[in-house]
Amino acid sequence: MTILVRVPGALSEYTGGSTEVRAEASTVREALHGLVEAWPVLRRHIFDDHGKLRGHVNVFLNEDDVRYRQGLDTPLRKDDVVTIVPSVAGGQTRAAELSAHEMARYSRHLSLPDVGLEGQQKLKASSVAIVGAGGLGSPSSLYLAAAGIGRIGLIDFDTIDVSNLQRQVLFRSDQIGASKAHTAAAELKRLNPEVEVVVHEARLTRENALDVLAGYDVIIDGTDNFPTRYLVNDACVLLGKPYIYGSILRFDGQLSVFDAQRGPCYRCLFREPPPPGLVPNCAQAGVLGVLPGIIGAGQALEAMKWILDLPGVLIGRLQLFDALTFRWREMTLRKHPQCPLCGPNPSITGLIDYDEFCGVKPMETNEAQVPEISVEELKARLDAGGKIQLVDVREPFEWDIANLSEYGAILIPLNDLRDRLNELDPNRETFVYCRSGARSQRAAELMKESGFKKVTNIAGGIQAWADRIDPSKPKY
Amino acid sequence: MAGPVYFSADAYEAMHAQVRRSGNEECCGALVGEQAIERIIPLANEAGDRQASFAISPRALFELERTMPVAGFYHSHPNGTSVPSRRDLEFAWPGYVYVIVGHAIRAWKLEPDGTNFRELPVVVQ
Repeated sequence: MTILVRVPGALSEYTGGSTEVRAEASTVREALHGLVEAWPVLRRHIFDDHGKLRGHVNVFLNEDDVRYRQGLDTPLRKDDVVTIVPSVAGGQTRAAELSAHEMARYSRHLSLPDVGLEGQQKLKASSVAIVGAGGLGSPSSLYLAAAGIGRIGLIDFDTIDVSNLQRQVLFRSDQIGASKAHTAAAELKRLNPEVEVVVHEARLTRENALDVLAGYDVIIDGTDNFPTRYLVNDACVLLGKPYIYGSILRFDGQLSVFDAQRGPCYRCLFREPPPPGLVPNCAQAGVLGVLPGIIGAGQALEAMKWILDLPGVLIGRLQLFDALTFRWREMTLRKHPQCPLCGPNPSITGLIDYDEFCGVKPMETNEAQVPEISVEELKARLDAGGKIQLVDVREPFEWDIANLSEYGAILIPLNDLRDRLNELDPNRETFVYCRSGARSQRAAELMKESGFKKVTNIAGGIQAWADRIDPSKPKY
Repeated sequence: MAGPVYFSADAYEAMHAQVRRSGNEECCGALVGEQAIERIIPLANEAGDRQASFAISPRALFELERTMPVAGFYHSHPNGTSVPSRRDLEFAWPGYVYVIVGHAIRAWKLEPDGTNFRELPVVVQ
């Protein structure tokens, strides 16, 4: 269909006095191609040498920035208007002069040949965003603040919990309940008042990620979940910024730098997330307290190397650390030639719904399929007796803390369930519980799909049982 | 617009006053007018590091472009230089006038090949 494409009036001297062109197009991408075919002089301002949209071009579809729709793939409808809006930005060359006090503070850097005064000025002129002020964000932000990074952005919406203190060394016992981002910012300012610390007390989402991260040179991911990992990776690729990746679980750590300008991105490696529930998080599986110290410090190191342009940045190299053997293994990563994000013909040109992509958002249909009952109803059913089976899908260590063995519960951890379904009777009425009801929901869905006649999830899990039925059960 | 950049005295003074007020942070705005810059529209500096950079929100520019003739943009360099930086060049578009307010006020336009800026004389009417 025919679409109207508008350019700013100032460009009219290049377009024969006109500011709009009609193009045959069914997507925003096709509309832009129509535009540069009509006025080839605009091509180099809109597309780069690889045919990708330049970072300083904004495209609006009617009233909306297409970055918040489906990017260049946003479909067009009759009478739509596509408008090109230049990014207007710039600024003076930053003169990051060091005061006498700063010279003294950073003297160990100044005497390092590969850093020196020039390197220290680069650090001062640079900015780093840290997504998640937790286990990884604690050491990375502390070391980066100490090293004299000019501006550090802390993105965290959470408050300090007692269980954080085992590894999140930014926080103290008397700060439980306080805002993580604000507490961390105060701590970093105490460590180094020369550093500007910006607090973003918000969850990073597809709506705010591009705006928040655009203000920083380097992005460190200190979060613990797949939706955020893909969100940060995608935003970094779209913004052309390096993504310093770290992850930790139990005794294992991973570290790499995804910089799509110079190497692979996270999606080159993992195009899609693992099925929900397959990879546990630290809350479920635990993590050795010192491990985030090692990996988080590694992230700070890589951010500094990237800023200082030092050799050996972990681009295209994934480091795997085993705390028990104290061995690092390295995997070489290559850019995937058909990466849907950073490849030559990307299918992902804007941010998407990451909860849905990672399967975190429970699908409504599934919710409807598996019935749920309260712990009070369960108690009544158990007391009434009858031929039922009660399945606990948590991990053995959780079972050891508290369980319902007095009602004949049997333990089959969620990850083993598929292989051990034969230990259960699919014809018998089955009740499934976990800690708070999420894993058991997935377990119940799995059983249902595998032909179990009647499966019911216990809402709230053993936590609710301890709260409302049997307070003698320890909570964790 | 080719040749000199003509400013109305009011617009020129308003721009200067805004730069003085913003102190050591960069400030920015749009230059509006057809034959001459008749007025300036101060815009919020959306950059993260406002002491050494500026950025105008695409939304603000989108709204502006459809209501008035935007001839170009101005921004300040608190360090005093009025010459475009490498980043100014990186983001520059053809057609627009870019005015930089340092110790002096100078106007620039991207060369048609996009590789460099050409300076335009500034005339206050």
